[in-house]
Amino acid sequence: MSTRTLVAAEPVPVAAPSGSAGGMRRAARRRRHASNTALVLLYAVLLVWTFTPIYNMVMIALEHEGDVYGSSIVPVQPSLDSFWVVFTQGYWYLEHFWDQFGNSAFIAGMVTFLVLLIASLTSFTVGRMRIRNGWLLTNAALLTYVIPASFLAIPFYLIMNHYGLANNPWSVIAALVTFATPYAIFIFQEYGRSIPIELDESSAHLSAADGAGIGRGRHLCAAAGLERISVPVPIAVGQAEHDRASCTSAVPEQ
Amino acid sequence: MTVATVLDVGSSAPRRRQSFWRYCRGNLKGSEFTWALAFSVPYIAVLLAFVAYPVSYGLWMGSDPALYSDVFSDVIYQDTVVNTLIFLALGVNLKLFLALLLSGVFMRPGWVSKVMLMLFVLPWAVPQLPAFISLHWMLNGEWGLLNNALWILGGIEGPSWLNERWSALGCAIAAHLWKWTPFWTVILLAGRMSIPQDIYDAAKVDGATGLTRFLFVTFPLLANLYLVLTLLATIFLLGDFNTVFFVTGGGPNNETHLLATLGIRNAFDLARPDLGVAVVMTALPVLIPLVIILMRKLKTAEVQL
Repeated sequence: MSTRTLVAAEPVPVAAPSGSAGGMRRAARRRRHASNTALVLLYAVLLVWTFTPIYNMVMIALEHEGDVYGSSIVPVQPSLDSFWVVFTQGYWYLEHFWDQFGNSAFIAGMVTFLVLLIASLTSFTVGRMRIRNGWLLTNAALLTYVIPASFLAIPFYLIMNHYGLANNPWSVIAALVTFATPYAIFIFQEYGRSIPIELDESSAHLSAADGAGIGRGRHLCAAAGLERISVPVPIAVGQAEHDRASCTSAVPEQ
Repeated sequence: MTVATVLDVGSSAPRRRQSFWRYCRGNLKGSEFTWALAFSVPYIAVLLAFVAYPVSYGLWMGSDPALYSDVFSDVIYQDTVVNTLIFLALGVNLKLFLALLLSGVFMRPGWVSKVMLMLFVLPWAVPQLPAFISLHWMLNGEWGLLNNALWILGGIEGPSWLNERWSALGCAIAAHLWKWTPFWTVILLAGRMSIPQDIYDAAKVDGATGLTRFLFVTFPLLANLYLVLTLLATIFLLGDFNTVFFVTGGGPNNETHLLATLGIRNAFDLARPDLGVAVVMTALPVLIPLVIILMRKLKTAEVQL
C-alpha cells in the first residue's frame, strides 16, 4: 500500500521552516508517516473492537458444548454439529424450532405487507391528495416514537388481553406495525415529493374524461412513479425487518 | 425530519362562512374526498387502537399517587435513577463525540476508508439479541472470551466484569457504544459530505488546515446537526431496554437496572404492572421537554448542513 493512497491531499504548510527545500520535504514526509501509522493503528483498534463480539458468536456456534466453558480463544475441534441439532430439533429446548421459525416468517411477511399497505395509503392521502390538516396525521405518526417502545410494552400487554389477542401472533404483528408505519410514511412522503404533482392532475383529467375515477388516476401515477418508489420500498421493508428483530424482546410473547 | 404542510390553495374566494363539512373537504371534490377518507382510515384505526388507547391506559394506570411513594422509597429505584443518569451522560456524549471524530476519519478518499466504513457498520447491522447475548457470554468472568484472551495473550487475570455494579454498568455502556456508534457515525458522515467543497477551498486559501479547519469550518456547520442528534440520542437511550437486559440482566442483584428495564421487571417479574408503569412515568418529566425542544428545533431551524 503506497502512502499516497492512505493519506488525503495534505497541503504543504505555507510557513516553510528555514532551510533547504529538501529539509521541507523531509519534514512533510515524516509528518505523513506519523499520520499514516496513527491511521493504521486506529483502523486496527476499530477492527478488533468491531469484530470481537461477532467472532465470539461464531466461535461458540462452532464449538462443542463442553469447550464453550473452556479457556481457548479459537474454536477447539470446530464442527457444524450445533447447527445440525438446531435443524433436526434434537434438543428439548428446540422441540418446536420449525414452528417458531414459521411463526417468525409469517409475522415478518404480514408486518411487511401491512406496513407497506397502510403507509402508502396514508402518505398518498397526506402528500398527494393533500387532505386538509394532513399534517395532523403525520405529526400524530411521529408522536408514536415519543414514548419509547419499552415504556409502551406494559400497557400493550394488558390491552392485547382486552382485545382477545393474547397468545396470538397478531398481537406481535399489531405492535410491530404500529412502530414501523410512521417511519415508512415518512420515507414514502419524502420520495413521493419527488414525483411531480402534474402527473396526478393530468391523470385525473384523463380519468375524468374516461369516467374511470380516482382509482385509475392513482394507477397511472403509481406506474410513472414506480421507479422512484423502488428505492424507498426496500428501505421501508428493511426497517420493518430490522425493527422486527429488535422489537420482539420489548413486547413479551406468551 | 420535515413536517408535511398543506398548501391552502383551495380556499373559496368570496368570504362567506363555510360549513363544517366544506371545511373538512378542503379542495377535494366529490368522490376524491371519499377516497381520501378511505385511504386514511387504516392508519387512523391503527393509531387509535394501538397508540392512543395504550397510552391513555398507561396514563390511567399510573395515576394513583400512592404508587409513587412506593416507587420513590424503593432502594432499587434510587439506584436505577443514578444508573440511568450516568448511562445517559456517558452513553450519549461518548457516542456522538466518537461518531464525530470517526466521521472525519471515514471521509478520507480511497478504497481503504470505504471498506473500513462497511466493516465498522457491521455491529449496527447485526440483530440485537444474538449480539448482546454474545457480549454477555464474552464478558463472563470464568470462561468468557475477553478473560481468556487476556490470560493467553497477556498473562493478565481479568476481573469478573459483570459481577460488580460499576464495571457491569461500564460494560453495558461499552456494549451500547459498540452497537450504536456506527449509526450516528454514518449520519454525521452524511452531514459532513453535504458541506460544499468550496468552503474548504476558501478556508485553505486563508491558511486553515487540520485542526483549525475542523474547529472553525467543519464543526460550526455541523453544530446544529450535532445538537439535534444529541437530543434524539437521549430520547432513544431513555427507552433502551435491550442493552442492559441482555448484557447484564439488570446486574448483580438488581444493581444495574435502567428505568426501562426496571419498569418491565416490576410489571412482569413482580406481576405489578401498575408499579412498572409508575417507574416508567417518572421518566416522562425528562422525556417530554426533550421531545418538545426537539420538535421546535426541527421545525424552526431547517437542519443546517
